[in-house]
Amino acid sequence: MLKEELAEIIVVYENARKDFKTLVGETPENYRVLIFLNPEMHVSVNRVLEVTGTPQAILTSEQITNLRAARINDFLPTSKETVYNSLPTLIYLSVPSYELTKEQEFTLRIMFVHAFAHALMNEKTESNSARTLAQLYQLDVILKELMSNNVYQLNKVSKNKHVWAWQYFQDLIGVIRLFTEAGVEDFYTPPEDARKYTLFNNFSIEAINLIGERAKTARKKHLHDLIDEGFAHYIQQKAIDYLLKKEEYQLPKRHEDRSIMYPRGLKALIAPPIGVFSQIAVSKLLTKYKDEKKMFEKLFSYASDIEFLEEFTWDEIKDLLAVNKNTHSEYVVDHWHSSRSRWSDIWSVYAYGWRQIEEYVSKIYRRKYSTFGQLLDDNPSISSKGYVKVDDKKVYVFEANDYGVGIDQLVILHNHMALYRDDFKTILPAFADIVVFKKVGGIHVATLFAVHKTKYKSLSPYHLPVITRAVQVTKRKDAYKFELDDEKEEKFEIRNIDYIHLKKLTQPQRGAISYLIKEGLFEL
Amino acid sequence: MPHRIYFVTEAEFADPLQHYSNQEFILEFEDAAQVLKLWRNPHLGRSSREGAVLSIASKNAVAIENILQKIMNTPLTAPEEERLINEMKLLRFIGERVLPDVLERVNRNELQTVEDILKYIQELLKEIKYEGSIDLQSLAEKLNQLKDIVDIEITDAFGRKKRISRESVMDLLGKILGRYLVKQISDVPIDEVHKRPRGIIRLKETYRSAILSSQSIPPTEVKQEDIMRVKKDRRSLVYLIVDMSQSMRKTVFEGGMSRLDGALLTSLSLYYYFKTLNRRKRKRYDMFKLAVVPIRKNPKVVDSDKDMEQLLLTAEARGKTYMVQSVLAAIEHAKKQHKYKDIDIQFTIITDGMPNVPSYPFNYKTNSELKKYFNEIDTNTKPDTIECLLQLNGIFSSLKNDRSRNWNISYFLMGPESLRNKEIYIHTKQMLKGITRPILVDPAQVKNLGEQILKESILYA
Repeated sequence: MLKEELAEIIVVYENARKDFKTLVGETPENYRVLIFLNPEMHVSVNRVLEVTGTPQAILTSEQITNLRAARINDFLPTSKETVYNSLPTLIYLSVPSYELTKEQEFTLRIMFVHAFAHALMNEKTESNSARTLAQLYQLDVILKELMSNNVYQLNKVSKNKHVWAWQYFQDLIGVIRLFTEAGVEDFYTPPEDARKYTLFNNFSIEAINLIGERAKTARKKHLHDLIDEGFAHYIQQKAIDYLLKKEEYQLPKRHEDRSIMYPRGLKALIAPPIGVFSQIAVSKLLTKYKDEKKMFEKLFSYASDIEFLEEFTWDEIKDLLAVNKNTHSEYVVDHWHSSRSRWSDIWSVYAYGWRQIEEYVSKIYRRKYSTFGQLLDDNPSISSKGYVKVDDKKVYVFEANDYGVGIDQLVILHNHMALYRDDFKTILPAFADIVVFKKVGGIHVATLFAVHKTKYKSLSPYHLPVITRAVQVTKRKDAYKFELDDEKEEKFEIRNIDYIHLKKLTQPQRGAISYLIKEGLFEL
Repeated sequence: MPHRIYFVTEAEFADPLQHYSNQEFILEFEDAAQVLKLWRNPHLGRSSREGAVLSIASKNAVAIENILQKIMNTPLTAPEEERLINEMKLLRFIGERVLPDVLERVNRNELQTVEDILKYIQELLKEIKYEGSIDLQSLAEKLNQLKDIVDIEITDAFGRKKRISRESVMDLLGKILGRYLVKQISDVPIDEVHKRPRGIIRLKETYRSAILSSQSIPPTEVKQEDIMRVKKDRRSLVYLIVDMSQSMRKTVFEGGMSRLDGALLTSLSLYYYFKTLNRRKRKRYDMFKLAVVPIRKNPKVVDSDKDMEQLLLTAEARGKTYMVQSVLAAIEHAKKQHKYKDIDIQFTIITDGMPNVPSYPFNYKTNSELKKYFNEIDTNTKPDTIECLLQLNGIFSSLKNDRSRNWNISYFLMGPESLRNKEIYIHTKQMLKGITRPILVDPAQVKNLGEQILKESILYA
């Protein structure tokens, strides 16, 4: 019965395929469309894709908590078409409604055409992007299966239920994925023979190997977003013009300047800067090669964005960015936003979008980056900063500017430090401490995660005598002086603290470390 | 390419934003003591407050990122757009201006209670007033989230953490501990115990029913459904008289839990045990009612949630042992309840010493035999203590003879096994002669005290 209800959508789908055939000359054949009856689910998938790059990746519990909080407050973007550019191409859509109005029909038709363009690009392109994304998708599915099977098995074999296992494994995969992707992997190398000790070790080793493989694959992926988006937006604009010319649909015009008012549902496809810029770049390519067929062939032949951009000089690109940013600013505020909102409020949002494109374009153009790995290494969100030695204890220092790593996730890092020790027997417990620097919104903080010697047998990897402390990293002179009262200082004999193993840190960062060590490490 | 349609259910394609973690939270007695400590002393828990500031900060930052996307991607109505822009401004302001300051104050231990935070918000709003540009009303509402900072972080047996607001601490602890007791008590094997919380098992009927269901004499087994009970239909008032003198300050085991903490948590767990039990029974009135009477100067009977909370928050182990006064207070309270009905009254006394402040004027008859006993022995016990023991004995004896109510008394003495040879145990035993016998509880086993009290006094008395 659901099939009958979806009948109208299927008609639109078939029409869109016909349109595409007329416009491009062929249709993609290798793609899947997933239509969500529950739009909430689509929003979630869209966010996962946005945050991790693939739709099946496991988020850390911190990310989930934050996103859920945003969802409750209705801060998450909705009604967007989500395309995962793998092979087969995965197209996620929310069903607008079973009975479509003329306007919704038009919107959906354009969305399908847009998605088909992505699919065709993925089939034809010479770049490894689509194939790599397909591999990543598979690895993510395997990791997910591995996780649920192991949690299930762990709970089955043990007498006292491992209620912690879900969250721990989830964070383990999420955190180590982030660190490995960013190229920080010098701190965990579990020996192969640890497998036989416990199911838990076996899982960790298996998962870490898979994540390692995933990171390697991901880093080799070509940068291909501009080409993907440019092609799709170019075809989409063609389809809009074509349908309007055919007079199948009538769109209202604005009173002031007779410009077309597009259906509101198309905002996600028309308004954001990435579509505007990439489409204009593709159009410019057309003026260079004159013939559309030839231009398409060219687009398919580029392995990565840099080859596309190198068709133009740097001055030309700078012009493209500057001119279109200005015209876009006027257009977008008028067309897609309420007249009651202040221009500066709205435009600052889009300016932010443009700034991101400018940074991306200038970076890859100047440094000739072609892969995702190169881009990551240029400004890694997570990096290792060496360690501080306090007596014979090491305190590892990281910088982690990713919202996936909160205080709760540090326990994962801690437990993996344990693997680094020579006397490794089991993953828990060990006594390595961590300091993490992180920029959260407007604050730059340093967090200490210190673990003291256990007197008891740990029941779970979370079951540790932990001290966490956090302090702001700031240039202010009095910042780290405030609370070391004399009484306390007397209590601890002077420790031997050795900072020589630290890599390039700023003075405030060093101040924060020494404050945290004094205040936190000996508190218990 | 052939086009096919498949239907996928939510079981096959789960919401990626679901929490994987199991929400079951297992709180041990020792952990509960830790929570109690944090709850009572806001000075502790700085690291948890710092963590809370960070978590607010990252929640806000993620929200801002998503709002940016939403403004660009999602068709919005004018009011919706207005809301998002305002929210974004506020979140930015909080993230960049307020939270760094808050973190610093938390470092300095300046924000420890809800009152501190409310005061801080007030001052902040006053300061911003002269700067303009931000909607103060909505900022004030938004800043209320800062109250979360002083929530209490609880850790379960496996080390997982959870935050609860200060107001809900007692309810949560009580529920967890009470349910824990319910579970333990119903684990008692049936063939050894004749009386159950819900009444007395009728052996004859149970036996008959077992014969019928197993079709043999004697019956091969007694099934759960064969057990016949007499439903208890008398009301019971339980008075838990808890020592709060100086000596209760001693710690009982690692983790710094004191005897007092143990006794308080036991009171709480029993309080909630009866609450749960009453709720499970479909009766018009509550079968059991529990009140706690602290042993301290000017004792007051604690019989409501609010008083209980106050007691848990403020109880301190100090001063002398005013046991006589507390018992008298309990009796006075008990006599006022259900004046014309025949009810059971249970006094359960938990102490680790002997009373040492006699009460005057004293209107009960003292036992001459006990007096003789104390006169004859050579003892280090102070005269005041002896006087107290005589008074207690007098009170208890008169209660036993009172036919208007059914009074039960049980007496738990906290201390190691070696106490049996000491004066404190011998004297107490003498004092309770003919009334009840003292039950020695090991302080290290304080986590089982609740169970022990239920088994040895209240339920099977």
